[in-house]
Amino acid sequence: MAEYQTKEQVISEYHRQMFKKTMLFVACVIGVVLFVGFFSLSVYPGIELWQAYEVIWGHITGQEFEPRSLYWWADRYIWNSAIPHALAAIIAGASLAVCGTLMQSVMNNPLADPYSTGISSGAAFGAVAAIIMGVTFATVGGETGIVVNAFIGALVPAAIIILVSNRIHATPATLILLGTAISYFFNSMITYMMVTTDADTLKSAYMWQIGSLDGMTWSSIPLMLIITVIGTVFVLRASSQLNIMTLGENSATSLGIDVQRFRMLCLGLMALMTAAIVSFTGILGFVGLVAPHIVRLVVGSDNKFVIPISMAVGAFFLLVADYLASVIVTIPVGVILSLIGSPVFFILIVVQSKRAGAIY
Amino acid sequence: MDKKIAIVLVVVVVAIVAVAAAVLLMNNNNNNTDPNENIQTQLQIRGNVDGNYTIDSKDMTLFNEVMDGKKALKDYPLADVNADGKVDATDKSLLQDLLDRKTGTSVYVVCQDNNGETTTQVVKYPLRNVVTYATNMQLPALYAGAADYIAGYFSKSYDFAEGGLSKGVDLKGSSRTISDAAWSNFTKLDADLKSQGGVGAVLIDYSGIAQFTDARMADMEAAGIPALIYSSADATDEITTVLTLGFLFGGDCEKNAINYAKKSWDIIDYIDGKLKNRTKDSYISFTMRIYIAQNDSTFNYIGASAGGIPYYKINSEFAEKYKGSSSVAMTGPESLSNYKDVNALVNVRSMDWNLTAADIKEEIVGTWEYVSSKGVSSQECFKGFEDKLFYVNNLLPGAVKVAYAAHGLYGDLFSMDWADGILKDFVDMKLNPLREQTRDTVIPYFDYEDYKAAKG
Repeated sequence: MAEYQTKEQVISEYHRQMFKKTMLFVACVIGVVLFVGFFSLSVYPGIELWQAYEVIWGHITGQEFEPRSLYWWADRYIWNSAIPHALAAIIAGASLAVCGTLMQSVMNNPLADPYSTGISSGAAFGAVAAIIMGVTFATVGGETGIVVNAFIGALVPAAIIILVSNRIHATPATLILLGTAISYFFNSMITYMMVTTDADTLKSAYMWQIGSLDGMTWSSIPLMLIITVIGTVFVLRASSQLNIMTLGENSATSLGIDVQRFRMLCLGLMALMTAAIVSFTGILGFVGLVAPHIVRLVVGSDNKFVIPISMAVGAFFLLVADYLASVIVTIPVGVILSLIGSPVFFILIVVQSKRAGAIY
Repeated sequence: MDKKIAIVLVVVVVAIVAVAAAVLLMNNNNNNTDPNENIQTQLQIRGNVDGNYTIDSKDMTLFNEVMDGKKALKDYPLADVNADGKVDATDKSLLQDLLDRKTGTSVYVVCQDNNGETTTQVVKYPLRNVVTYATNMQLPALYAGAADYIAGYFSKSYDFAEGGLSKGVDLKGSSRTISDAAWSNFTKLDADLKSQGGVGAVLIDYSGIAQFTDARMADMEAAGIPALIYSSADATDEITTVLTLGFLFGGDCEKNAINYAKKSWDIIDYIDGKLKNRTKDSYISFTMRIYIAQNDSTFNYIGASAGGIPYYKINSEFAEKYKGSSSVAMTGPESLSNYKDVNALVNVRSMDWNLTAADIKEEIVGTWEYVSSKGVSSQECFKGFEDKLFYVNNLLPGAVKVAYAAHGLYGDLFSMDWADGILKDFVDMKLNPLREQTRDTVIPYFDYEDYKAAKG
């Protein structure tokens, strides 16, 4: 750590750090706004970018466009198609980034992500059971049945881990190993179902596992948004405790945190937040892993800043990936996330290791 | 005594409830009557009470009789001019406006919905600024003389025959798909035409209905743009489509369309009359060179209108194999080997005109010797059937197609000169797609002899 000789130097460094944090946050927000415009143009190419913003702003402020005018048509397309799509990407990206930050802090493990506890396998098992076997927890089949199944399936691994943890001394490593064991179990069940079905159904099940934001409508937004907002408020309020948790279990206990209880609470919350996203989108990898690492590289490890800025980075990252996936190359966003996410993550690990000698 | 009163009261209450229920049910039945049921008409416009080719004073006379209860609405469903399930003064006022061909009148048009069921759409008279989709709908609009009223089209496949579309905006779709960008162009066109009331209607051939997704239909409904959907690939439905569009565009279009329809029906009646005592020939229909038209395909109707018997009606194995309304590609000679007893093969093919003699030869030889991208040879598929196979140009007016099909089926009764004469009659009507064409610039029909002659 650099040493500062004078009060002015300290203040100057503080301002520099704050500027970096603000700039990263603002850059991501501007990027998000820009890509919302690009999404709008992709669904209604008959207008200019500024007109797209004018339409969006007009809709938000309650302006009524003259029926069958250019803005009326543009509003119809942008508001019914582009905005729910972009909003789903923003919410999912922000939520998964929060979950990633939470997991990495609580588990004190830089490789932890929202799926480390087997949530992705549980969700995939629920969805694949609905797609292939037609077995749903919901009384209705089809899309709703898949969403409900995935949601409940995602919560099952977390519930098992929480129940088991109450009976054993569960360290972060134990929790991740339990999650890995549960993942293997669910993955074997998924494989069994997939090898016994026909090609078309297999494709549907596989596509769900890759993750996609195509076909997002306004009906998908409320549950995702409500759970994300509630979860984020909790995580932001708990940012001080999360900072303490990164010091290690003993330090956290000595500073008055009931580590076991706090960890289970975070685990449950993270499972709920992740379930609310993946049940609609399928598995979206790398967002929860990459976003917090990028942010820590730039602004340090204080969760008070890492959490909100990670949300902005996660939202921007997923929005850009989704734009590339749905507009430029027309493939599921999960593929793009992996394509971008894996090299970015690789570089981050190398850069952080060179800088600090450790990756966390 | 009290017990008796109680019984009487119960009986009275039950009777009242039963009567009330019966009245309610009967009323419900009345309300549930679909105003689009039982409609059989030439001109597909509500108010055409007698179901003939036009709306005139005879319709008003009949309407009054329906309104007075002398005639039943179920026998004259088009007396319900505004399709609200009842006949009243509003209908009468509307009918009077139709008789006067009053500008701005709401015209209730009988057509199909996106499920193929009969429905009613409302357009303003006279219809202007239409957008068209698919050749099978574009040609009827052009035959009705509406080139000036077509504001846009999603695709154009035949430069000369559909040349009249050029006054409209190319919305950049294709003959098989309407992309999101093309749909966006459509909405932009509607916005551009806003000062003129926007797009007046979208004219859709039912065979292309898959391109009009629920979302797009919802767009049109929200904007109040009517979708006039007809199965206009059918030669006989094409005639009523031309007639109906002609009425809606008004003025000379209506006169042209009536001439067109009357001439067409005369031809079909003539064919029917000549075939009255004749043993009918069976036929199998084809499209896209080597595709067998399924039983309910509209391509099957040309042969039927020409007095033939669709082969599926006499061969149950064929009928079972070709259930449906689409078409199935042949794979080789085996596709027809079980059906050697069929009398004729009617191959419907769209061929643009304004051709030179060399173009005609090239088109005939190329079609006869066609080999698909999968290596399926037309000559192989039709081996052993050469003398039964003939091609009819699908771009021709419906009745002309039927005339040439009649020649192909019953050459002894309907000569080539007779069919050529009918083509000339339609050319002489100054129809836009056939402008200044002659028998030497159009391929209306060809068979094995023509192929051999072209091949030299």
